[in-house]
Amino acid sequence: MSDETVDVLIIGAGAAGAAIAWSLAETRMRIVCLEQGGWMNPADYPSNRDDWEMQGLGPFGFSPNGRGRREDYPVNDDDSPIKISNFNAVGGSTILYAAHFPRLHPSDFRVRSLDGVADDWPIDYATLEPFYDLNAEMMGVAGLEGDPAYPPKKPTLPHVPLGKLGETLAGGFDALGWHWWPSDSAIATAEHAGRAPCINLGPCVTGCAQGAKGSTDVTYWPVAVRAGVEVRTHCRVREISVGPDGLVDGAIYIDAEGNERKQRAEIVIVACNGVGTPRLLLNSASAQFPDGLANRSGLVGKNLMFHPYALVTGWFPERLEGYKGPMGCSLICQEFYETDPARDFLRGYSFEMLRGQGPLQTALQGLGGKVGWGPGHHEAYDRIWDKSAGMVIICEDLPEQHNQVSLDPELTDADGIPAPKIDYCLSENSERMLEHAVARGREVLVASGAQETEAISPLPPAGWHLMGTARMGTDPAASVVDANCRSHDVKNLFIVDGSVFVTSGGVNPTNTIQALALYVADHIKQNLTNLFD
Amino acid sequence: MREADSELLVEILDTLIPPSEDGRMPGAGEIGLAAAVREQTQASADVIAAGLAAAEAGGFSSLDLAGRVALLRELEPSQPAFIATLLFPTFSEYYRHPQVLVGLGLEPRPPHPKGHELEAGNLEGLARVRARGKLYRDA
Repeated sequence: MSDETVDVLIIGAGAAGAAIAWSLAETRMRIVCLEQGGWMNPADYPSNRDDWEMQGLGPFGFSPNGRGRREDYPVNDDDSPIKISNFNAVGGSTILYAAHFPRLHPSDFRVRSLDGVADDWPIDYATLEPFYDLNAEMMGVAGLEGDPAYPPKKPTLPHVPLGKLGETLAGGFDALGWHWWPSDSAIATAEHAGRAPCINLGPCVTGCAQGAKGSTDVTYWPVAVRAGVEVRTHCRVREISVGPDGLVDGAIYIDAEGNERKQRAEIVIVACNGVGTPRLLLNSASAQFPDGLANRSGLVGKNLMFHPYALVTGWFPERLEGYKGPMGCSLICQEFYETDPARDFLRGYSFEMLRGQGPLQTALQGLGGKVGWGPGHHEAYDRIWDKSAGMVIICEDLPEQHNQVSLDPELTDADGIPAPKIDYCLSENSERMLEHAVARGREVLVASGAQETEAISPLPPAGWHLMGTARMGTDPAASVVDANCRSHDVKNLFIVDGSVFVTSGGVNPTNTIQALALYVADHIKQNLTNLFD
Repeated sequence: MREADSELLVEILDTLIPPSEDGRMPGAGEIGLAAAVREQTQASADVIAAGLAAAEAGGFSSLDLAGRVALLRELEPSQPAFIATLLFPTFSEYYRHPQVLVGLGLEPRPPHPKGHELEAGNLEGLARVRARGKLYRDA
C-alpha cells in the first residue's frame, strides 16, 4: 500500500525531528513525520505515583533492552562497556533526558586545527550561534548570563535553583578556585510558551509530569502540528527506498496496525539518533547502494562516539535536601574542558552536579554494602539518607573507526527488522582523561565537605549520547553528509541527529543536535528553488 | 503459602528491618509488607519455602531478636539465596511505605503535583569565576 507523495518525510520525532519539522512548517510544504513510538501522557509519568522510584528501574528505565516496550528496538551492546540508553516516543530521548543544555565550545569545531587529532567540523560555532539562540527560545533554556567558559549567550529563563546541595558543592569549587556556573537547562523555571513552571519534582529522567522540562513533545511539536505537520505514530520505518534516478523516493514502514506501507516523499530527513540512523541506512541497502544507503564512503556506522562518563559520589555529614529539584541540573564545572599540554590526555571534560536520591534509591544503593539488615539497619541508613551528592563526568570521546554500529546478524525488533550491534572500546586518551577527572572529582567533593567518596568509572549505563556515525565533512570519501547535512551520495536525503557530529565535545549534545537541525532547515528554506540543482 | 509460613515471613521481615529503638521507624513485617514481598519473590518461591522451612526448624519464632538474627546468619551458608532474595523487595517496599516516609521526615506523597520548594542559592562565588576572565579558546 502506498501513501500519496509528500514534500518532506521526517523519520523520527525526537529532538532533531521536532526542531526541523517546526522550522520547515512555515514553508507550507506537506510534511509527514513517522515515529515508532506514541505520544506520552504526562499523567502516566512515575512522579505521579507512590512507586515513582521503582518505575525508573523498569518501564521508564534508560535501556531499551530493559524496558522491552514494543516501541523500542533491541540493541546488542554486549561488546561495549557503555550500554545504549534512549527512548522511543514523540519527543524521543528528550522524554527521559535530564535537560542539561550546554552548547559546544568554539574550540570543539576545530579539534584538528587546535589539537592535532580527529577532524575539524565543516562549520563553526559562529555558524550555529543564531540557531543555538533560536533553540533556547523554543526549548526554554534556564541559566545565568556571563559564564566565562563561553562566548556571550543569553538564557531565556532564570537559572535552576542550586538548593542546599548545589551551594555545598559550589563551596568546594570556590575553595579550589575552579570554574563553576549554574547549568544551562531546558527547564522552564518560569512559565514559558504555555508551559507550567518547574516545581522541583526531582525525577526529571522519568518524564516531567509538570511539563516544565523541555521535551520536544511539549515544545516544538505542538507548534509544528498546529502549523500543519502530520505526526504519524507507532509507525516503524523498515527502509528508505531509492528510485531509478538514484534519489530516495520515500520510506517503507510498518504502521500501527502492522500493515506495511510506503510513504513517498520528495525529501527524506533522517533523525533517528546516532544508532538508529546508521541502522536504518544499513537496512536500506539496495542494488544502487549495496553497502547501505548513502554509504559510498563506507563510514555509515563508523566513528561511534559516546561520552565516557564517570560517577563520583560524596557522603556528607548533614542532610542536603538532595531529593528536591531537577536531579541533573544545578551547576556545571568546565575547569578542565580545554586541552592543557601539561596533562597526559588531549581535549577535556565537564563536571555536572547531581542531586541526591530519594529514600528508596538510597536504600537500594545501600544494599551494595553501606546498609545491611538486622539491628543497626536504621543507624546505617541514617548515615547515608539525604547525605549524598556528586557529579557525573562527561569526557570528550575522540572518533575511531573501529567503534561502530553495524547490523546484528540475528537480533531483530518486534517487526523482524535487523537490530543494531555496537562494537566499542575506550581509547587510552579516554581512560587517562577519566582517571584525571575522577581524581579531581573526589578532590572537589572533599573540599565541599564530603567525608567519603566513591567512583564508578566508566559508568556502564551511560550511552545517552550517540554521535559520529554519519559524520559531516567536505570530502565525500571521508564523510557521509556535507556541511548542510545532506548526503554526499543522495541529494534529497538529509541527516539531522547526533550521527553527523564530527567530534563529540565534552558536553551533552541535545542543544547542538537541535541547533544543527534548525541550521539545516534554514539552508533548505533558503534554497528551496534550487535545492537539487 | 501456609498461614504459619506467612506469620514466619512477617517475623523474618521484622528481623531484616526491625523497628527502631526510638519508635520512629516501624518494622518491615509489622507494616504489612509480607504479601508484597511474597508477590515479588514468586519466581523464587522454592528458595523462600526452603528458607522458611529451615528457619522454622531452627525454632525462629521462639527466639528474641538477637537469636533470630543469629539464626538467619547461621542459615546463610546452607540457604545462600534466601536472605538475598528477600532483601531487594523488602527494602523497595519498605522505603516507599507512608509510615516509613513520615519516619524519615517526608510527606507520604509522590513528587507531583505538590513539588518542592528550593532556595535559589548563593551565587557570591561567581564573582571570583567572572574575575578570572575568558576560559574558552578562540577558534
